[in-house]
Amino acid sequence: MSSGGEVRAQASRSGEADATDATDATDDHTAGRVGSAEDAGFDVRSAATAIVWVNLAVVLLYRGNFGHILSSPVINNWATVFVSLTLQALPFLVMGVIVSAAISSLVPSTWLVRAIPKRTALAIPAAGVAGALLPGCECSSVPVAGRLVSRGVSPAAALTFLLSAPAINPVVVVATAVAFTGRPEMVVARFVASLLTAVIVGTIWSRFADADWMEQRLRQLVDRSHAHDFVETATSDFLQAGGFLVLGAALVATLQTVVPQSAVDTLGGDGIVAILALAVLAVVLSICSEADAFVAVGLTQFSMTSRLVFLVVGPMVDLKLIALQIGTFGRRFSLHFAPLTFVTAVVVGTIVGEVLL
Amino acid sequence: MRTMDRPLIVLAIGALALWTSLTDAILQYLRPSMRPWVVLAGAVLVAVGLASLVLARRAVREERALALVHAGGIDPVHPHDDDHHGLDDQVAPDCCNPSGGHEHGRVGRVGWVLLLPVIAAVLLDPGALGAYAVSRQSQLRLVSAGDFDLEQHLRAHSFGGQTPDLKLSQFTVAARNPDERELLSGTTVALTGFVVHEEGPPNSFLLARLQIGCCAGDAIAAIVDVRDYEGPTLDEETWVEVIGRYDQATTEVESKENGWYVSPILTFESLRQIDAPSEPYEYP
Repeated sequence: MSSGGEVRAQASRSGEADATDATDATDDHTAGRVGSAEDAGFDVRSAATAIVWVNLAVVLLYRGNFGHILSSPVINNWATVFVSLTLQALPFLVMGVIVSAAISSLVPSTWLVRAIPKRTALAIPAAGVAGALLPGCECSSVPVAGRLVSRGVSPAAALTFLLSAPAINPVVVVATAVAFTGRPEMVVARFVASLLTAVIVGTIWSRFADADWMEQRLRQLVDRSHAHDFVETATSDFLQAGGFLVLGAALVATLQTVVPQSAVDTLGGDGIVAILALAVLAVVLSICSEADAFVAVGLTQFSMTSRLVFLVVGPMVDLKLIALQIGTFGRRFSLHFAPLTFVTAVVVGTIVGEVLL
Repeated sequence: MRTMDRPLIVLAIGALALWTSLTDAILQYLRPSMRPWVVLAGAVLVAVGLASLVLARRAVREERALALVHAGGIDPVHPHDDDHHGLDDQVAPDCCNPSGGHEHGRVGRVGWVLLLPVIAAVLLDPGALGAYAVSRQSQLRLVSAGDFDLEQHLRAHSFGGQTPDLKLSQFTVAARNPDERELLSGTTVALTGFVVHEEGPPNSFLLARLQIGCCAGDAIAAIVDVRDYEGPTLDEETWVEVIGRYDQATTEVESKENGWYVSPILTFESLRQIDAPSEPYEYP
């Protein structure tokens, strides 16, 4: 549709410029023909999507006929994990998108710029601590951070927030304390290591990152009424971030279904191998930061330090999250950001673990 | 992505969230305490989707009206009403391209994949994780019992000679714990789970149940090895309540032989088949 509109607009703009020209009439005729051809194309394509929607509705209503054909333990296992990862992320994603849309359409950008310290050296730790204010998991913090950047917050500060929020907010702290009952040092270690990692990554990013690594893939605003903007921003942010989230969930579900978890069994124990094994497991499993402590507590064959690394890496780098970040900031961004965060999280987690645990 | 598709996709996934969370379907995927949040998310998505639908309809209508104006503009009878063109085209990029213009250029086709979970959930209706997930579990990922006092539980539930029931996760955690193991030894307990067949000694089967911290994606299996069962062969994934005694001695011998903790062994006493519980998982 857009191309049709643009063609028309350009054609008639040129028509306007040549208004006094005698050939104007023929120009206008050509433009008219291009426009109507495009309109016909639009009708055919929208008819096609309408058919898709109708088919989808029919298939869903007659689902009883398909379930048996397609059901097998492998497919069912995949579908259960896939749907559960999506549903579990949904409340947090919706919260993130709503907060993001509110920042975008309701908070004046001058206010944000004033609220955040000018000097990066102050803004980064402040953003890290501010992460404690967003009670959600990683799925909410990505759209919010994306929106902060588009509203003029420095990328390094927004990224620090993105990393710290899912690991140090009160909900996650409480969940960790419940899972590790009787071991409060784990809660402290997780908080300290996560905040440190976030601040270090933010600082490195502010010094060394190229500005063009980060794309803005979230929709930019056209000024209209607040309510209109809010709905439009929420819809497109949700589709963009949610689409990538679902892709990530599909990947995780496939890995979980195809690769037996007993693949980790050869790796247990102490030392650097255990740390790396659990760091990779955290990336692959993509467990929500509110639940990962319950998984970590069951990894009894691994050292406490390696379990801490699992809890520090998980909310910052995992497959689902990388997909979300690609959807928000682009591929070049993730190519730099994910490895940097992974290495920092492993190193900081190991050091903090050795000191505190 | 087209004007009307965006709100429809949002509505579809919102409807999925509401449908699963308002029925027990959600218990196949998430822990029960997540339910209100999914209801809320579904309600917000449906509201946003409806609002977006209204805006999209308005945009489409304005677009049609504008197309009519354009059609009028090329009327050979009035070839010179260019003033109208100028006005309309200034308005056009803002109000008439909600789907494809500059402002949404970045929202690509990726939004369509949000229909996949809807299709997977409704079409396949996969049910809770079962024997397949148990068979692929890691030996190193163990369930946790949360805040659980075995001694107090046994005392409170053996009142009047009744058999105390334990969650499978509580039982397996206690069986690995040197202090609680002694307490458990020789006690008759009732355990609920589903049947899994793996290679093992004759007259045995595995009784298993999955524990989830948040969603089925983080499920860990609690497994008990039931021995001395002489009844008819049970189908895999049959739900049963088994009464039996923890066989500490055999468990320890086999653990030494294998070099790791084997699943705790339960000497079979009795069993009854039950319906699959509405909450298929255990929660720490």
